[in-house]
Amino acid sequence: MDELTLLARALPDAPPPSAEVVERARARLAAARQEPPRPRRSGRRGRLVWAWTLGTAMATAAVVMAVVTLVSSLALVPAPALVPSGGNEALLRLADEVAKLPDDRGAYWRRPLLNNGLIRVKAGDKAFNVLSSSRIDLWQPRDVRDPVHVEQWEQFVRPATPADERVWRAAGAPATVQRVCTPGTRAGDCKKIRMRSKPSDCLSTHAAEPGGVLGDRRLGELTLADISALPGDAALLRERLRAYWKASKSARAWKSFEEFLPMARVLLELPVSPSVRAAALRLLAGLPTTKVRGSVTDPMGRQGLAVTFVKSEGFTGQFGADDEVAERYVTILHPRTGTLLAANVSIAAESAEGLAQGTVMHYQAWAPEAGWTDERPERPRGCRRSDRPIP
Amino acid sequence: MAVPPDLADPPDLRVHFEQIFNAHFAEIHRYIARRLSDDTADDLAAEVFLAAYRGGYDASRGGVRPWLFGIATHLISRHRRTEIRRWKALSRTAERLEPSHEDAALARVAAGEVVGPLAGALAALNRGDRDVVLLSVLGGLSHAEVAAALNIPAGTVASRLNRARKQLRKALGDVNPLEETHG
Repeated sequence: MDELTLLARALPDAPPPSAEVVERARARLAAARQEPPRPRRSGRRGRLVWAWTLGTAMATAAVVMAVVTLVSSLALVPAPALVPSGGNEALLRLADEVAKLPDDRGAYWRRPLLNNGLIRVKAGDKAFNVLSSSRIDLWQPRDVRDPVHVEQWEQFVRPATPADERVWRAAGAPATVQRVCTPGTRAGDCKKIRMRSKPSDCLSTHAAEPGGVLGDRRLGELTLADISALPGDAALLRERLRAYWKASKSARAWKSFEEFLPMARVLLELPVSPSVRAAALRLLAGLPTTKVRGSVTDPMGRQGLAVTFVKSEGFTGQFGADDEVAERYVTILHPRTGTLLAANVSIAAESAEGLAQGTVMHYQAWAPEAGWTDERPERPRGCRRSDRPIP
Repeated sequence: MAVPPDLADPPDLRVHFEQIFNAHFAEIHRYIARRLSDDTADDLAAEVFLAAYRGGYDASRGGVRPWLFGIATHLISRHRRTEIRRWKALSRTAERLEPSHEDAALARVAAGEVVGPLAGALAALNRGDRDVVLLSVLGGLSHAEVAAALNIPAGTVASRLNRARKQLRKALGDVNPLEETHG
């Protein structure tokens, strides 16, 4: 036995990834597969990883204020242990309200998604944070012969808070700033970031999706017709999901149907009728993995209901020079419609350099104009057209 | 393990990406988890496949598997501090542990006794040498595959392994620990 064989046997092994981890990775990949082609420009760093599962042109001040608001609001959310039994009652009450909503439909279902995140940067020798925002708008037509329209924008890269803005201005308000990376990062991978005050780099695609299959395939290849046929009853919906789980190879990655069930949350992100959404909320409220974290203000400054449907703690992310900042995730639902306000909201669970515990590190938000509309999407002036269809 | 489809043509890679993901996600996750931590692997393994999906595969340089391990190794390099901390911590922990008398497998006892010095030696290796060693040991990659994964000549792989082996042996006191246990 040589040293290498010995080493192979001596080093601790690791358990296989959980079904949740595999699902999360698969979802990120699915999101990437929906991305319109990105223009190749040096120095441009997109945060479009979550393209499909991402959302508004808001004034910087408003967004920054919202982040600050969320920080203070979420800090007041009680720890899970403090949530009284029956804590998911709030979801059942929400479901009751959602069930009463009219089933309004238009020619297009619009989903405007913002993908926002904090980045640690340097101007001169002074470090501060910028908030980077990109946006992807999707118009899913009711008529399957109508093309799907997708528009992508780089929204802005701005100092995250007034204090950050002071640092940036004191350094002469440079147009580009240097990203702060973890030690050992190759220079080529630690690029400069261009500050950006107005939306730019628009790219649009306009392509028919064969059969009208929706881009979000986390619950298989669904069309609007499939979605319309879903039952508005939690028990029936559960059985429908069971049939899908049994039939789908990818869904069978979960060891049991019970482990797969939290995926019902995906229905909250699809253009389902209010009755189906209510059924999904009731179903989710009854799962042991679902935890209502209370009322919060989302990063866009809107009142919402914070919920976690899967493991939400024990994650780490990279921030600035720190390669492992503990973070937790939360989903924020609209308090009246049960639709998504913000997903994958990452909150620092510990302080790091330039980052206070409780700060929102990144999130994907649905802009207020989400929902059904009769307004036909038009390619804005100056928006480059991409010939590549949506995968 | 499922065999990925023939990936001679880069555009096909995207078509078959689901199969590639299914075939390799768990082993890439395991490789990262053994070098960093389970939690880091949860995110980083996904990053590997995102990076892979976005392209860059060159069939003339080798198979998909070493290519994925190469991406993972590159991403791990950004967590160098964490990795070194991990090996140092393992070295300290292992030194404090008494060998288990209940452990029937002698080889396991032997492995347990050498974990501390070996982990300490891993922490002290330079990054390039450590990558070569761990791609071989944890990824089970051949010399040629390690060369493809890191985009370095096969001769460099051999010389790095040779150098690393010497350091590992030195950490073990220039003896074969298995012989000592039996002996």
